[in-house]
Amino acid sequence: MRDAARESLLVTRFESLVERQAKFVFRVAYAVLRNPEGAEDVVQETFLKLYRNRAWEGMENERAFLARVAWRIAVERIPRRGAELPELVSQDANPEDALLTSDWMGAVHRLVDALPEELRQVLALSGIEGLNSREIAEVAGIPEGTVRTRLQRARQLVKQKLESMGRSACGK
Amino acid sequence: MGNDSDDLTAAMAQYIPEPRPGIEQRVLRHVRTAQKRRRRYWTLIPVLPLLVLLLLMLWPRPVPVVVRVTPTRTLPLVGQAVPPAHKRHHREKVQPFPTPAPLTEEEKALQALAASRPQEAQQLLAHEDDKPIEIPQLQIPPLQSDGGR
Repeated sequence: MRDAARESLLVTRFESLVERQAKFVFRVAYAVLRNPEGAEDVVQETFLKLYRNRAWEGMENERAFLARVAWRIAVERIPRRGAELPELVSQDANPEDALLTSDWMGAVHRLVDALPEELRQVLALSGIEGLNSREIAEVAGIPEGTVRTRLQRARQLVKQKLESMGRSACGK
Repeated sequence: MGNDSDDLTAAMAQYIPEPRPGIEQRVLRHVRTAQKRRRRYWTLIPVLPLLVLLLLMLWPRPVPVVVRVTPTRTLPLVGQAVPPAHKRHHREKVQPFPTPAPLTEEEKALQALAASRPQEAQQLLAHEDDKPIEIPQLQIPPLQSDGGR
């Protein structure tokens, strides 16, 4: 009787966790895979894994813990799903044309997609709310200093590219 | 055109799209389905030995095949090695004893007499059997010596 009540409580807590964090886990998975379907598969696998091993019951930093699990599952899927990754360069418009048509946001996203994978992933994770350098380091399994360096380098590259595109756009 | 750090941060916040609506419900449904499936497999575990036992009981056992060998005369194949004569002799079928043979004329007459007049035939045969055997007296002549030659 007591076990049933405890089980019911755990189920309720788990459902609450899913409601709270499913979108966050999706973002982490998408930062790795850049594929909505693949990211959703990772979300489902992440929560199923957590439910089965009940590791979620004792986690301290909920978001960091979930992000780490999702990150690992997503990274494991990269080689298998490599062929399904979207094109890094958009077929309909290049970044310069996007800049000319005021699609500045789209141009930035395409530039980020074109970054080296190690820089892109760190920059993408930094865009997710609530993840600071220390948490990104924990998720990706790299030192915090490396995260900062990569972030700085990634931002620098995107800015340089944007500036050069802006100059060329003004010149046209 | 804003290309400073704030703009980049704002752009990165929108880099990742929103998931399809209802992701939470889909995740919970997936977890429940997976758990139900798993529970179903667990319930099969105690049943499994019984199933194996039943299968063994119902499994058709091999019936011993009785092969009836009818003796047939086979000719030696061309090129087949012919055993030597002394070995061949042993392989020949031995006739059963006594050898069945047709009755002789005397035996037939005796059989007819026994059928028609059994008492006379019995007396005749008894008389024949009871007749004492006469053995003539043996006479052994002494050996003749040749005079010490």
